[in-house]
Amino acid sequence: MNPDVFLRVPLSDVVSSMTADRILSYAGSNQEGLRMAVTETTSPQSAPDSIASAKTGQPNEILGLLGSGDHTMIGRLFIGFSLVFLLGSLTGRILVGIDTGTNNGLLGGYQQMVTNSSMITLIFLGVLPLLLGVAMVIVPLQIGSPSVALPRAAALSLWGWLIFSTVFLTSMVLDGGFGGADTDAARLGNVSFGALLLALALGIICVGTTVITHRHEGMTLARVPLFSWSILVSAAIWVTTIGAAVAFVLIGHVLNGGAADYFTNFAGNISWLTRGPAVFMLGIPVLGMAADVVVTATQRRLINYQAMQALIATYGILSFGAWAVSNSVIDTALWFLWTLGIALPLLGLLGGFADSLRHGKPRVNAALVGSILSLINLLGAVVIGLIMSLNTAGKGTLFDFGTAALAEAQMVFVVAAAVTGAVAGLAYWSVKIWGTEADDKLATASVVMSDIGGGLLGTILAVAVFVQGSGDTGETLFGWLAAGSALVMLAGIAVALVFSLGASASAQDEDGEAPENPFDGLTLEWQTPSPAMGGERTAEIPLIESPYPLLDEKEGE
Amino acid sequence: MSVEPSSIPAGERPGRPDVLFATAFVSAGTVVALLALLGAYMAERSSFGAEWLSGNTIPLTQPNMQMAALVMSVFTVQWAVWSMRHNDRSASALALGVTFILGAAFINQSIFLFKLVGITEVQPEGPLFYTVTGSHIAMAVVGMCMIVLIAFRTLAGHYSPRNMSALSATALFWDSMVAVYAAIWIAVYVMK
Repeated sequence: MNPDVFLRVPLSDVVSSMTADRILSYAGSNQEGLRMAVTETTSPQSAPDSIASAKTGQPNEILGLLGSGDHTMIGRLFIGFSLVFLLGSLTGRILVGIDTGTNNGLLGGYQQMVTNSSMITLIFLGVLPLLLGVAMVIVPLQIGSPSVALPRAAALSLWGWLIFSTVFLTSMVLDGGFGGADTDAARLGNVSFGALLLALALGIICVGTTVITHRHEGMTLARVPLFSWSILVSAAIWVTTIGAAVAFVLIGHVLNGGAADYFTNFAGNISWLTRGPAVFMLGIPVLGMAADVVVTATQRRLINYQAMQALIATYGILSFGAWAVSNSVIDTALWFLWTLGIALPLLGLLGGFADSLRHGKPRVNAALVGSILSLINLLGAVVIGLIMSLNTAGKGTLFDFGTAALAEAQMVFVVAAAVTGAVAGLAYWSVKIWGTEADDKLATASVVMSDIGGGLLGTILAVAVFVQGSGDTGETLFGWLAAGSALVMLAGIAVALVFSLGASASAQDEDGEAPENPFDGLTLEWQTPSPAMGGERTAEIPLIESPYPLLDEKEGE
Repeated sequence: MSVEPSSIPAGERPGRPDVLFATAFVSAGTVVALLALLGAYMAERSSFGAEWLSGNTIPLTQPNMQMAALVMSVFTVQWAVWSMRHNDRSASALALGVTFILGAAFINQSIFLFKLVGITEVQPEGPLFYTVTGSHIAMAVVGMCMIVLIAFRTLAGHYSPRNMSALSATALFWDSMVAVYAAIWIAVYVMK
């Protein structure tokens, strides 16, 4: 490399040109050599890669990965790692079920720690980063932006989350986490949990800011595609919710007690993240994904688009749960109304989707099946909330069981909805994320298993509360049933990992063969190469007069 | 259809400021975090009843002065924004300097107040009291660091009426810090 180059070219240009080369290499493209870095003076074919890298100063693949600010790369890594963490978290839930089935014959003294920590890892190491990863890849493409806002912060978010997630898992192994017996490990778990929350908040701030500031000319907020809109709503809710959660993590740390005190802080001040209304925040992006999938499947605009946006925003506001920290809040009229209220936007959205499906001729595929199933699971969570509310309203006359015990069932329903929706999104945008279409049979199997497994688990946990509440202790049977249904859900996610890896591998084998728009998508992400790369498009962005510019083009022809 | 990456640019976008909106998100998260701490403080105080801080006397003079200083700083930081919008860099830098001094006065007064009240860590009230007030002071320190950085960049001519989103973002963060103090002032010091 000519050292004088640095005197003439700004560092940012040097870095971005290196990134462009790296992206092409990752995508398995045969464009190597066509796109040279502006700093490069020798052909990459003239020497082995490593030597060429050393000579030219280009990062090798690992360094390229670590230093990438490309949103598609960051998103893919979020998706990959979160799927792996989801498998681990569900394994923990299976172990808890087996332990219950064997009367604490498996986990012994670790039962409490594994139960609580696996709930936390399921949400914050699995579901939320999975949704964030999909958003990180798709949102900039969908609004016609070449990149995510603050790309270095987005990369920091990924690596911070990954590192602190690993530290949290380490604390679990050391009998810390939430509910462990070792004080130092519990402290480590508490701190790492706070740090990974901050990392996730940073990531969602980047994506949320992208929606506000990076929209293409003509794309007003009223014309933002519903997935991007749902991510903007998610950003507001997730950031504020995480802010409150971090405050309670800080309190736990400042009180600086023993392992039992950390668990008390978790049970009293942090566990609200795992029940309604806060846990419903995981469903916000699922609503946007489902909307985009339905529109593509039917090739029809949704009725009253602004009303749909308003319904997603209302759902988001009602999923803000930082006001309901105390466990006693569950027994108040406000919680009752709040929990019932969240059903209204959900039903409104379902009505809008049903209208489109009724009037259009939907092309049924894994994405559509998964989207519908995920909404049904969200409704299941609402029904659980309704039962909890009835319990509150009629305490002593209608029902009288531990309302808090139903909260885990509610969480499982929402998690199942979010996972199913996210997997449906992976299938829908597979060609953009991984480079080839997902195998539709595998993808359908994945969404069905994720949804049914999660739905069954939630139902079993709910029924167990009723049955045990009436005096019949079938605890061991319910333990085995819960383990079995968690296993089905785990299998669904494993299949999602398989079809994602398969799609990624196929993309590397079939250079340049990926279709650009296999589902006739109507939003701007379908005008990008497959797999998508930051800043690359395959056509000029048309005049934007609605949320569906490609449909406008079709109708204009 | 075979698709190869093209060199078509991803398109033009209006010049909306990333930093300003990202700071708005950060400010919202921070405000909720501090309000959550304040809520925990009030819940704990409520459960303690009359015993809460019964061994300590919290005067109102210092908190009132702190509140007054921060209210003035809201005006000065907006003065900085207004000046830059009218392309008056020196006035903007001066306003930022005054804001910084008011922030420093606030922290100085806080330390004086803590010594005067004498709440200790071993008291049951201590950890929560210092978590709430200390977290807010940390927010103020972050705001002051931003002000110093922005002031130097202003003096160096980095900003103009068309490019001042970092200055606006700093003002936004500072204003949210003051709003949080208003809540702390009422909940911790006035209501005691």
